[in-house]
Amino acid sequence: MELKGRRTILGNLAALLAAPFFMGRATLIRALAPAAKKNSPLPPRISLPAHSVKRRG
Amino acid sequence: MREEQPHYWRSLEERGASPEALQAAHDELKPGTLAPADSPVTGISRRNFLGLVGATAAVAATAACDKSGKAFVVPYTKRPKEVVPGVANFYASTFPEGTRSYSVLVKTREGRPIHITGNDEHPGLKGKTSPRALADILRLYDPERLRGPKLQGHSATWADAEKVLNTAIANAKQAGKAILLLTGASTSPTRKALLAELKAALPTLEHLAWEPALGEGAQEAATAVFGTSLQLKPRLENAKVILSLGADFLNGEDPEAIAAFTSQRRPAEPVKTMNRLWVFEGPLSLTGSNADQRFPVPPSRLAALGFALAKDLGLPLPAGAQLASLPAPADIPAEAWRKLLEDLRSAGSGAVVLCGAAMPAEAHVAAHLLNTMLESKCLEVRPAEPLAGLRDLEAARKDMASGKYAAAIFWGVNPVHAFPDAEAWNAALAKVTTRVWVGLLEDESAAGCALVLPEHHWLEAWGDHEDGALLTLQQPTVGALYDTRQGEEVVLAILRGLGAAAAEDYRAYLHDRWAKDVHRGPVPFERFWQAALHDGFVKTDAKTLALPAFRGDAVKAMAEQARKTSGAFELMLRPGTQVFDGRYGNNGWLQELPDPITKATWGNPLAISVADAKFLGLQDGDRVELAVAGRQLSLPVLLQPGQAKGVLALALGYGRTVGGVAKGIGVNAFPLIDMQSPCPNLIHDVKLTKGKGRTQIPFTQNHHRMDGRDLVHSSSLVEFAKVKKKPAADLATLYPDLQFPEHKWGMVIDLSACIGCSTCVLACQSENNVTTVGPEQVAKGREMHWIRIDRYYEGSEENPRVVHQPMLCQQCDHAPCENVCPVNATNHSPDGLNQMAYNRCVGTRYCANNCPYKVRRFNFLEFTAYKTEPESLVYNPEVTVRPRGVMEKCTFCVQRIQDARIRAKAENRPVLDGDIVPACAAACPSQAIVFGDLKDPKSLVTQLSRTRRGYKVLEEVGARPAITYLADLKNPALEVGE
Repeated sequence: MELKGRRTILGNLAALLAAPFFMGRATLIRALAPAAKKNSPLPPRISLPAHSVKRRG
Repeated sequence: MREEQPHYWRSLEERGASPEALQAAHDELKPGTLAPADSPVTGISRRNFLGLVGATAAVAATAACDKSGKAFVVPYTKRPKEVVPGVANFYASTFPEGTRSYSVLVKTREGRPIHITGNDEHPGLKGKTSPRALADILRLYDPERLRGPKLQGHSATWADAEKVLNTAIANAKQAGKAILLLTGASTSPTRKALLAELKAALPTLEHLAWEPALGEGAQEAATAVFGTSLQLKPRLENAKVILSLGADFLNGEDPEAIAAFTSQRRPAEPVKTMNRLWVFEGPLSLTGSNADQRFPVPPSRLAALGFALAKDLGLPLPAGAQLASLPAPADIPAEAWRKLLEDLRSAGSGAVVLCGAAMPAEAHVAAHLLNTMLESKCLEVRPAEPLAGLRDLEAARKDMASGKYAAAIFWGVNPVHAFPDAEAWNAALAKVTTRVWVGLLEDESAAGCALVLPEHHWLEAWGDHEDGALLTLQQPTVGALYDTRQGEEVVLAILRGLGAAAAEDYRAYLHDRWAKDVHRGPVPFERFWQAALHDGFVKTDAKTLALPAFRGDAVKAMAEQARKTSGAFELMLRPGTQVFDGRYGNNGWLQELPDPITKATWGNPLAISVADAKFLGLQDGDRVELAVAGRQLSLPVLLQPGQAKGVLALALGYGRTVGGVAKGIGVNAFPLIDMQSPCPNLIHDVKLTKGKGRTQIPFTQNHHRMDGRDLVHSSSLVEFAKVKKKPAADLATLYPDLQFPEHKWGMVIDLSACIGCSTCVLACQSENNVTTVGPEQVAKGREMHWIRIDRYYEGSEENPRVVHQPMLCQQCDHAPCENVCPVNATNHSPDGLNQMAYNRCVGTRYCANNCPYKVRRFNFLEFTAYKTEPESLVYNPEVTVRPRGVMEKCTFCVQRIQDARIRAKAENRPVLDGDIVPACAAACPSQAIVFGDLKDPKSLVTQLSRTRRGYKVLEEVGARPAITYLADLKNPALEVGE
C-alpha cells in the first residue's frame, strides 16, 4: 500500500472518529439528521367528523 | 376500418419525419433522460472511495447511537366505532366549484380522505365526476395551507381575530360607511340565505360575486333575450344533432353531458345511427377533437355564422326578430353548409346549439335564437346567480380608492392575480382601513390584508348546493386538520358581533334551515336529515323551469354587432383545463396532467396555428412578444394543428407569484384583458412579434412513442359498414400457452366513447400513489402516469381529425418485459396479471426497453421518500409507495381485485361481473373502459372484445395483450375527400 495514501486515509478516519468528542454529540446529530425547525407549524390533526353520516364502511 | 391505414401522427415533428424525430423514435430514452448528473461519479479511485465509505460508516455508527427522537406506536384502547383498521369508510359530500357543484363519494382510511369518486347514487352523475374534483383531495393536505388566523403577519387566535373584525364592522356601521364583500360564485341556497341575513343586519354591505375566468357574454345575452340571468344545461340523451359554437362541453366539467353524448357513440351490431357533432371554433378544443365535422373559424366570426344559419334555416323567426341578410362564412364549403342546414331541419327539436362561455354575447344570442327556432328539447333551464363583471370590479376599485369602504372582505377570490390592473387594485386597497381575507391557501390577495382567516377545505366543511331538481349536501369527511373555520362561520361571527341572533356554527344553521325550508313529508326530520347525509342529496319539489319568452327585438342589434371583424390576430383567453382560474395552481397533480390537446404540462404556452407560425418563422418553444393596447407579455409558443388562422389561444390561471408549486409556472394572462370590452375573454387587434430565445415546454406528446405501426383504428360509419372483421392473427410462438385456472382479467377500451378528458389519469394517480416529478423531469420524459392518453392526428395540419387512445400496461400473456428481467421482479400471475415485485427490482430498466407499448415507468430519482405529513396523508395504504430505482406500471388495480375476491370469499359466492372496477374505469365519464373476466363468456368485457370493432394494439408483436380496443367511429356529414 502506498505510504502517502495510507497515512491520508488513516488520518482522515482518525479525525472523523474523534470529531464527536470535540463537537459534542448533540451538534453532530443535528449536523447529520434533519433538525426540527423552531416555531415549526402545527402538525395536521386527523380526527373523525363529529356529525357526518357515512355511506358504508 | 379503411383497408389501407391512413397516416397517424402525434406531433408536427413526427409528421414531417425530421431526422431528429426519426432518431427520437429509434432511441428508447429521450436525450437528457440520463443526464450527466445521473452518471456515476468519476475522477476518484477505488481506494479513496473505499476509504470514504469506511469513514462514513464509522460516523454513521456514532450517529445511530443516539436515543433522542424516539416515538411510540400506540394502538387504540378505545377504538372509534367508525374506524376499523384496514376497512375504508365512504362519505357522500359535494365538491363546489363556483357556478358548478359535483356530488361525490369520498373514501377514507383510518379517518383520512384518500380518494374521491362521483356519487354513484346521484341519478345524473351515476358515479362520475370532474377531473378537478378528483385532484382536489391533494389540496386538503397541501403543506402550505394556513393553519391558523394571522393578524398583521403574526399568528393570532380566533378570539382576537373576531374581535378585530367585529370592531371594524361595528365602527363602519356606526359611521354609516360601506363594507365591500367580494366572494366567488356559489350554488348554495343556505349560504345565500346567510348572506341575505348579513345584508339585512348590515345595510351598507355591498356584495359582489365574481368568477374571473368565465366570461360575461352568456349572462349579457340571457338578460338581453330572456330578461333574466339563467343557465342552460345541455341534455343530450336524445340529441341527434349538436352544433357547437366554440362550446367545449366535453372538457370534463359536465360528466352528465359527456355520458349522454357518448351514449349514442357506441354503435351496436348491426350498426345503426349515431348522433352528429358539428363544431365551429377557433382553437382546437377537446370537443372539437371529438367532432364528426369540424371547421376552424375565428371566434369573432361565430356570431355572424350563427345568424347566417338562422337566416338560411327557413324556419319562422321569433316575434320581433329581424335578421338582415348575412352571407355564410367564406371558409365553410357550400356543401358542408347545405348539409348542416339539412341536419338541423331534419333533427328539429332533437337538435341543439351550444355556445362557449368565453364567446361574446352576440354569439350566445345567435345560439338562443337557433334553439328557439328549432324548439330544441335538449336544454334544461336553471336559474343562475347574477355575477359581477369586470366593470363592477373596476367601479369597486374606484370606490376603494375614493375611501368609500371602511372594510373589505375577500372570501374565496384572488383579485390581485385576476384583476387586470393589479397595481391599481393594490393602490386602491391600501385606502381601505380594514382588509380581511378568508381562504384556504395564502395567495397574492392575502398579502395585502392585515387579517388573514383560514377556512376549511370543502372536505372538512358543511354546505348544500342546488343541482336542478336535486339539493346536494356537503358534509365533513374528516375533522378540521388545523385551527380553521368554515367561511360561513366568519359571517355568523359578524352577525353575532352585530347583535343579531345567529347559530353557534354553520352546521346548526344548515340543519335548522333544512328543518324549516327543505323538509317535506311525513318522515321525522332527523331521519330525513340522516338519510340525506347518507345519500348525499334529496329530490326537491322544484319543477323544471320553462324557457322564458324570447325577446326578438334584441336580435337586430346583436346581429349588427356580429358584423364587426377582428384585426390581424385575435386572442382567446380561456380557463386553464388544469388550474381553472389559478385556484388549483398549487396542485402538482393538475399541473403535471398533460393538457388533453396540446399535451403541455407545467405552464401555458401561447397556441398558434401552424400556418401563422410558418409565416412568422416560429417553432415550438420560441419566445414571442404579445402586445395588446399598451400591455405586453413575453411567452413561448406552441404550434397547434387545427387552430384557425389569425387566432391565438392562452390559458388563464398561470403566472402566480405565490405558492411553492404554483409560483413562476407559466405567465399571467389576466393583465391582457380590456376591462371596458363587452367580451373580456376575446381580445382583438393583438400584435405578435418574434422575440428572443426559446423556452423548453415540458409537453408529453412525443414521449413513449410506439412508432409507425397499426396503433389506432378510426373510420366513418359509412366505411365501417363495409368492413368485415378480420380473424385473429395466427401468430406462431415458441412460448407455451398460459393456463388461467380461475379468472383471466381483461379490459376493453372503446375509442368511440373515449373523449380524451384524462379523468382516468388523475383517478389512477390518486388510487395508486403515482407521484409527480416536476417540469424538468417531465421534459426528460420521466413523468410517472401509469395510464396516458395518446392523441393522434390524421389528415392536414389545418384541420386534422383526432383520435384519443388511453394506453396502459396491456398485461400481455407473453409479456416481452417478463423474459428480460435479470432478477425475475416481473412475472405473470395465475389470473392474467403482469406483476411487479418492487422490492426485487434492481433497476436495470431492461423491461421498459423491451415493452413495445412503452407503459413502464422508472423512478429515476427519489420522488416520494422526502414526503412527510401532511403530504404523505394522501397515500392509499393499500398500494406500495415506490422508492428510487424501482420500475412500476399499471396493475389493473390489483388491490381492488384482491378486495373483491376477499369479499366474495367471505360471502361464499363467486366474483361477479361488475364487482371489480379499476380506478380508471370508475372515473371515466363516458364508460369507455370496461374491466372483467375474459374467462366468463357472459361478462361484458368478453362480449365487447368479440365485436367487429375490436382489435389489439401491436397484435403482430405476439405479446397477446389482455386489452381489446374498439375502433373509433365518427359520423361525418362529408366523407373524406368531399
